[in-house]
Amino acid sequence: MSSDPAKIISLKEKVEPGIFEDNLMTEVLKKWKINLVIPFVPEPKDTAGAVLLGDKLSEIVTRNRILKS
Amino acid sequence: MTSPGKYFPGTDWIAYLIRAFHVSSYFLGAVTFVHFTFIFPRIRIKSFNPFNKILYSVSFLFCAVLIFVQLKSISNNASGWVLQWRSSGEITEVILLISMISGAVNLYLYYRKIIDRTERKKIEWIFWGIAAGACPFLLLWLLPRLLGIKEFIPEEFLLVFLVLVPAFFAMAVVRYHVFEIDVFVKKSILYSSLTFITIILYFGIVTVITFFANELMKEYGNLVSIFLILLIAVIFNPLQIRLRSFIDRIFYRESYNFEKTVSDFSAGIKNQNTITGLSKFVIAEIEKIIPVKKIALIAVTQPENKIRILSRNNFDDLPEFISTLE
Repeated sequence: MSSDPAKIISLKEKVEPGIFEDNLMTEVLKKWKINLVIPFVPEPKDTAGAVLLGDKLSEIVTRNRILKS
Repeated sequence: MTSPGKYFPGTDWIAYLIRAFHVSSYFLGAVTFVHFTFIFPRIRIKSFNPFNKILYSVSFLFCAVLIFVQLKSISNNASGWVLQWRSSGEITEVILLISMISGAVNLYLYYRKIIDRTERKKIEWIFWGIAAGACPFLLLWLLPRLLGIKEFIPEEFLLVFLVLVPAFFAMAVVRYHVFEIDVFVKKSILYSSLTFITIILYFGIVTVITFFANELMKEYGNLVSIFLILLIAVIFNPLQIRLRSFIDRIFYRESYNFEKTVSDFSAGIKNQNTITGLSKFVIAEIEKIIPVKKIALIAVTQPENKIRILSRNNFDDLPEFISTLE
C-alpha cells in the first residue's frame, strides 16, 4: 500500500471544484451511499486497493437539521 | 438525585415537595438509568412501548407508596410507620444497586457486540461518565449501608462526583456527536458568543469614548450610538462566519496541522506489524482527520484478483457492494 493516490472517484457535489475526479460511477456510488473512493495504484494500470468514504458527520447533522426544519 | 437538606424537618409545602422529590429520585433514577441503557445508542428492545409503560407505571406506583409512607412516618411519628419507612428505604436501596449494576452490564454487553469504533467510543465516554459519577456513591455509601456497616463518606459529599457525569457526557457530545444534539449546542454557543461579543464591543467603545471625550459623548451621544449599531451590523456577519468556523473546528476537528498529521501518520505506520493492524490504524487516522459516517479500506489480492475488506467502520453493506463489482 505504499503507493500514491490516483484519480479519485467521487460524487461531483461532494468534492471541491477543480479537484481531478472521475464521475463515471455516480449511480453506483449514490446507490451504496459512498461519496469518495481513493484508489491506490502501485502499477500504471492495476489498482491495489482503495479507501471508501461515506457522508461526513458534519454534513449529516446539517442535512438532518434541514429536513427537520 | 436531590437532597432535602434544611427542608427535612420542615412542615411547609416546599418541605413536603422537596422530600417527595428526594425520596422518588432514588427509585426513578434507577429505573430511568435501566431505561437509558436499553435505548442508548439505539433502541434495542422489542415491544418497547408496553415495556416502557409497565416499567414506569410500577415505578410511579412504588414512588407514591414511598411518599405516603414517608409522610405518615414524619407526621405521625408512630413507630410502625417509621419502621415501614425504613424498610421501604432499604428496598429502594437494593433496587437502586441492582438497577445500576444491571444497567452497566446491559451497556457492556451491547458494547462487546459492536465493531464500529465511533459507536464504541460513544459508549465508552458515557459508561465512564456514569461510572465516575455513580461508583463513589455505590461503593462508599450504598453498599456499606446495605451490608449493615457505617457509610464511608456522607451522601452529601458524594454528590460532588455527579458533576463528572455531565462533564463526560459533554465530551461525548463534542467528540462523538452522541445524542445528535451537537447542532443545538453549536447554535447555542454561536449565538450566545455573538451576543456577548456585540454587547462587550458596544459598551467597551462607549466607555472608551466617554473616558477620552466625555463632552463629545454628551453632545453627540445618540449619533455615536447609531454609528456603533451600524458598525456592529457591518461586522456581525464576518464575526458570525469566523465564530462558526471556530466552533466547527472544535466539533468536527476538520482543521489540522498538515505536517504534524503526516509525521504522526508515518510514525504510527512504523509501529504496525500486521496487515490488520495497519488497516485499522489507517482507518482510525483518516477518521480523526475527516469524521465520516462510514469508511472502509479494501485491497485487491493477487493472484486471485479478488477484492478483500481490510478494515471498515459502520460499512455493513460493503460485502454486498463488492459482490456487485466482481
